[in-house]
Amino acid sequence: MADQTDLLSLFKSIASHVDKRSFDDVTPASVITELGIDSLSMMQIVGEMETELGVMIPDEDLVDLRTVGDLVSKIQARQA
Amino acid sequence: MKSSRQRRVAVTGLGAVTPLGNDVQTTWAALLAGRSGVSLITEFSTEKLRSDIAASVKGFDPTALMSAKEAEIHGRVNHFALAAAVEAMRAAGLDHPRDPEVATSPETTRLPVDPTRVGCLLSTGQGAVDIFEQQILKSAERGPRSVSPYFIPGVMLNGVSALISMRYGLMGPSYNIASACATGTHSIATSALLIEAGEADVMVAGGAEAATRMNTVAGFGNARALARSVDGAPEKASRPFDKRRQGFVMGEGAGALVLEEEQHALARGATILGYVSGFGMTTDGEHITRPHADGLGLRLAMSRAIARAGITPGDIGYINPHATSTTHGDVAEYAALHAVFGERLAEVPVSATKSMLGHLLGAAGAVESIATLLGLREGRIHPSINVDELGEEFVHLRLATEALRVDARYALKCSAGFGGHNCALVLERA
Repeated sequence: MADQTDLLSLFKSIASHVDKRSFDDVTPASVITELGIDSLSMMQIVGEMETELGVMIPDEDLVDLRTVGDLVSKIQARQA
Repeated sequence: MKSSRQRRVAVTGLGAVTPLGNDVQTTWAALLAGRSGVSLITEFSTEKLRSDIAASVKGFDPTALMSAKEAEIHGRVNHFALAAAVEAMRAAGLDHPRDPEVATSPETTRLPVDPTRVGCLLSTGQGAVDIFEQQILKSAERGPRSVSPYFIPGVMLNGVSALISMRYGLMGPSYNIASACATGTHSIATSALLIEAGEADVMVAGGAEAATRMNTVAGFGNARALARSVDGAPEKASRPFDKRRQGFVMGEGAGALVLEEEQHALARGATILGYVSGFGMTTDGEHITRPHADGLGLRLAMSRAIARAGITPGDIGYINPHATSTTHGDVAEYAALHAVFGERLAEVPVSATKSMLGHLLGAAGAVESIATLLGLREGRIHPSINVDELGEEFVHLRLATEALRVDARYALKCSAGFGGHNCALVLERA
């Protein structure tokens, strides 16, 4: 199971690949809506993370996500 | 001749991306010189395919007009379509992209015309085959969660018109017409119809295609529709009306025409490059791929186009036929032409753009209409290449095997697609 730091790195790497720009400055406190990621691109990032980690994130986990840390926590919980 | 009260459809901009050049002038110069855009396929393995040649666009960079992210979302067909549309809009004096940070509205437009009266019918027949292949492969290898949320907007056929409309904030009618190899021609005809009917003042019309992929070459090849190299030369494979013709060569590209109501164009001082003076649209209603043996549907489309232009076959001074170089297709089209023109067919010069560009499928009718309009405008038509010996069926065909001076006011452009869809245009010199 990946820890929070690994998951944050994975998020940054996948987000960079998906959106063709750097996300090096992202921290767990980064607010998702302030990252300038389109809603479809965000789902693309989630799908790539699910595929990479072999987990399934249900739709209900994806509502009310505010920060990147929130997303990482949900993924980590589903890995457990 | 048309009644002066009728809304008349002028052409005020042209744009093209083709296997012979990534703009109109480069393409046109190569066509006049009789150059072929056909070569061996290098983009993927052709092992076990029935043909290993295609007419491909070379050296095209989609990121000149869109971000790397957008270039990935949209297939190659959309890249070509946008580039052709931008060239045509620039030529028409209308390349004023909207501010993406501002909501689209008639008040915020940067266009010098009412955006609610500008539409787009730049269509594709096959759509983004590359994205389909890529995402299906991804799903098979990594599972459905890896499929991109952009898969659907990336492959929807109307994505082409949507992309162009979003660049400029166009608010008039826009959608996609698919009639296989007649797609571009139908899009021009329907755009002209929309302008004549008063539904729009300006339409970005035409066709785009980028379908040369392993599975499509397999599909067309297994249907025995594709040509192979002749005498070991890919550039000799596309040979409409020649005795040794054996099928078409897959091509890719896009053609865009800015169509505009004549008074609207004159009022803003636009240069009129020609007119879409008539169109006819019919269907064979007989077979999914084989054309009607006597070209009946195509003949009706030609006759309707000529009648709608208010002229007679005797007024047509140049014919740019569909002429794919297939065994049966060329014969059916010749039968249609002979039925419409009779013995006079021997007097009208004919040249087949596909002899050089291959078959651009959904883009073919648009790019060929551009070649036809330039021929009328410059008084010089491009040649038909690879005719070593005219097929014996085509006894009355006056095929121009070299670029030819032609003083013609009207030309006929015809297209026919799988499904039995026919469309003919009468194009007029300005």
